[in-house]
Amino acid sequence: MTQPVICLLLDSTALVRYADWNVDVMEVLQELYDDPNAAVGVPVVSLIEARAVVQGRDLARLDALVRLPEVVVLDVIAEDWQELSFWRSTTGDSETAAAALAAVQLGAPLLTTKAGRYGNGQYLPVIELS
Amino acid sequence: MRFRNVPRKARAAYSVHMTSLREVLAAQGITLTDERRRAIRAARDAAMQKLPVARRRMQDAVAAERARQSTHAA
Repeated sequence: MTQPVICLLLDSTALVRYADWNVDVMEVLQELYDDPNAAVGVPVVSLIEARAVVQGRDLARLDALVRLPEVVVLDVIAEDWQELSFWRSTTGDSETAAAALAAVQLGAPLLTTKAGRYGNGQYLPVIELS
Repeated sequence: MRFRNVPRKARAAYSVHMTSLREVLAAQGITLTDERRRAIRAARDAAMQKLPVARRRMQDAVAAERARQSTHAA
């Protein structure tokens, strides 16, 4: 079986927007999810943060998203602690650190509604929803 | 154009029991304009150009930290 290629990562802000059924997120997914082997990555810390702020139907949609076969929930690996520590000091919190590291390691763009969380995307492969 | 939500009709077509992302996206019935398509691709390409710099910054910082730690340990 061919390994899926992560074509896009969603941080907690993008996940919340997805759960709210936002067209902008859907459009980006529709345009960039164009390969039969493509998958969408969700850092586990981002999922936890998103789940903390959505409820009801939005929460059901979010949970349904991460159960889809093309969506991969990405672990935080303990042996990456130095890399995570670097991104934590750069971005300011553990969730963005995990998302930034996933983007760099997987070579995939990171979708967010708040590029400011990642130094305005100055150094990181960030796509800000507009 | 911020916070545009999927129309009510498409919401009704969606089910949490859908089994693939393609199925979910198809249920939206979203048709991208060429302009929007180009804008998304351009945003992706611009983001990806930052990847080598981001990777190098991280690798340099981690290497420097490891060197500092080994100096302290010696």
